[in-house]
Amino acid sequence: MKNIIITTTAVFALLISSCATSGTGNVSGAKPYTSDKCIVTDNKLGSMGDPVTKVYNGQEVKFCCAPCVKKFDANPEKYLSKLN
Amino acid sequence: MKKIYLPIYLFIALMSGISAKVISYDLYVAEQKISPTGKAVKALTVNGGIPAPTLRFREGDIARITVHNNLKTEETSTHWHGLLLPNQYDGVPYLTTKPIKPGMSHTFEFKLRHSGTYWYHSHTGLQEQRGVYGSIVVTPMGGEKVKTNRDHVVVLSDWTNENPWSVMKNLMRGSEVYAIKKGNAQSIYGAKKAGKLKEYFAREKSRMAPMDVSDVYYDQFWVNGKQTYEPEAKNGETVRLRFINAGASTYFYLSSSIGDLKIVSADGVDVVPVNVPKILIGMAETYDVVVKVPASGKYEIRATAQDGSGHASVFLGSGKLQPASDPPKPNLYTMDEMLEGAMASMGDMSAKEAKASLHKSRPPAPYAILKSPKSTELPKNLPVREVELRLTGDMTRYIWSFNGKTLNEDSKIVVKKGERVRFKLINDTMMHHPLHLHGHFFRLLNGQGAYSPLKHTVDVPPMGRRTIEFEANEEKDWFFHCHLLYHMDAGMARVVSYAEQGEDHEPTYDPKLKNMKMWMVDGSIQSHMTMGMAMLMKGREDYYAMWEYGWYDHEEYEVDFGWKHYFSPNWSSLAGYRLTNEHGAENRFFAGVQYRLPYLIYSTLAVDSEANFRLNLEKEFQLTSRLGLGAEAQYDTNPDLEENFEWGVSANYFLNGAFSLTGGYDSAHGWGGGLQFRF
Repeated sequence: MKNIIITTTAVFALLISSCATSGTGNVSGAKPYTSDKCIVTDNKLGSMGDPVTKVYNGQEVKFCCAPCVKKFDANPEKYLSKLN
Repeated sequence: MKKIYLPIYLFIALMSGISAKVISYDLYVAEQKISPTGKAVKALTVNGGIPAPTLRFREGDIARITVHNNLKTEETSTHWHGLLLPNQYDGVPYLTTKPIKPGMSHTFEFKLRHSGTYWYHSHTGLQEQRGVYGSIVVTPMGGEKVKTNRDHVVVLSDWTNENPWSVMKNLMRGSEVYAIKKGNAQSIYGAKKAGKLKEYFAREKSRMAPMDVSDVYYDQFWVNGKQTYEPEAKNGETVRLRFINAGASTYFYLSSSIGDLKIVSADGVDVVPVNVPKILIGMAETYDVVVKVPASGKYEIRATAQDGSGHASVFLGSGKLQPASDPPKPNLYTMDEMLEGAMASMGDMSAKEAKASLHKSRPPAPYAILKSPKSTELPKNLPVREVELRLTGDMTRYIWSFNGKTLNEDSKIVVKKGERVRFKLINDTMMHHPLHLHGHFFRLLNGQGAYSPLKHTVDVPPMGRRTIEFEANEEKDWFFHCHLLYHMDAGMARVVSYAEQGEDHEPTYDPKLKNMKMWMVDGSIQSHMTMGMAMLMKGREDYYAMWEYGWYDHEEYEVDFGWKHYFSPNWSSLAGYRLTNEHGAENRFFAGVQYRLPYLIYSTLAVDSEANFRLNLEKEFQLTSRLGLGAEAQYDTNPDLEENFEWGVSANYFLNGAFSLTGGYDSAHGWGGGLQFRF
């Protein structure tokens, strides 16, 4: 029984921590992304589930959903210009 | 000189008085049973039919329409959708016009200031879904610019045998019943079959609810109240079809076996004629389309529900049937189509790309090619008021809002007379929203500059955005809302309120929109136990009684009387009182939080008045569209309990909206099986 409790607590802690870091924290060393909106669609981060984060040339960027990363990758400079 | 002009003025005044013909209609709203699918169900009819009669006028006429409410207990109302008219005749109950009480009548009298295809419908509760809608045709003073041999009205609508309030209840309880009935429910098996298992679990991990393109299952889709419509149209003739989407919650794709459809008017206003292979028409929009029936054969123009769950057809000509085809069903396991539509809406595509997107099998709304034949520019000297409105909501809880606030939480957008008001509409949800502004035409800023088309309703696609602008040239209060009926009733609405009414002015609107309450009971009765919840939902609050009672080897019960407050899809708070006879436990107060974890695992952490903590985790695995696997684990720190850790698993097979089969194991109550119920 003790093992079950320990396992459940560990799973719970893992999920909480994954949740706390998914898209909301800053990737260390990268220039932080300060907007609360998706760099591609301007949708509010969090509106399409947890945001997705990536670093491009030392700049952290955030997306409302995974398909937006593909859009960004096709033309990163176009979207990065929004940060200026 | 004055003496010469006076008779001329009098003559002109007299002539205009004579030419302004008064056209009168009487409309009788009544309840009656109809059987469109063979099963008799209650509907609301106008003058004995659905849709209501077509009201025909000439531009400049005076409309005098008396609406008689023959309902026994319900109020009603009539909104003249798209017509510019004095505020008191707009027909939004309580806001602009008094509701028409049972047994009473109300006469509307206004001048037809402009021509076009429009419609009318009840603005009370969910009456529109039950049948209170009809069409309006206003012929231009000088006749139609585009001449055709025939001219027919085509009212599109959706019909459910279910009581619309029961539909609303199912939506509010977050039931998957309609997705299952439509064949659009997402599951692990479905994702594997579609080769999208990775995307399925990625979505669950990111705490995104399953996507769908529509909320409700419909028994039938209609053109002019039937599944098929064969108006008079001979081979070789040109036909103007005035499409009106009077559906409560259905977007339609219009496609034709003739070939391209020529749009000549949108929302009642002429546009530069343009050919498109398909048209996505949102609720409350109208398009006048011209086609030429080929020399031989019977041709179909099909209106297919956007979710692919059915269609209705118009047939033109005679001879061998040339059927139109349905667009492919949406792929709900990927967001790619949604994102393409969003990019098109935000001007992220070149004009050429946007035009090309209209040739896709599931195209976006045809806005990119709509162009006014004359300048629609507003006077340049008007002060600009820019309003950003984020379209927000949660499908699971069924709260819909602007900027995170429902109508009840933030009711008005203040504008001043003489302003150029610009709405930036940004859709932060995964559904289309057709937004309608009462009492004004707005310019849809679609890249056509001075020739931006005028509309009264605009589709904002999932994740997309639109900008509209209008001159604030009216007075008083006008409704602005999502025309998906259930979204409007769930809070996605505002009142555009003219500042001249004073700072303290608060618009009044239907009290039912303010305090919509919904009772529901979800539970199970099994061979070893019963569990469930009776709940009153009101806005963001739930008041509930939750029970669990087992009798396998000993009788044990736990009943919570609680209050839950919804903050966001991820966070809720709860508090209440617990009654129990569990060995070692006592009746107690409790308070805590509910948090949605990645993979859509619901966790609840609560502390009770004995300073014990309880953690609960719940997860549903949807194996197939009907078969689900539920798992639950609970740990309570109460040292007096015999078992601090309890868990259970169950398999649930969906039978229909009210019942599922269930069977499984509960660590406190053992094995068993029975029936789940939802009322």
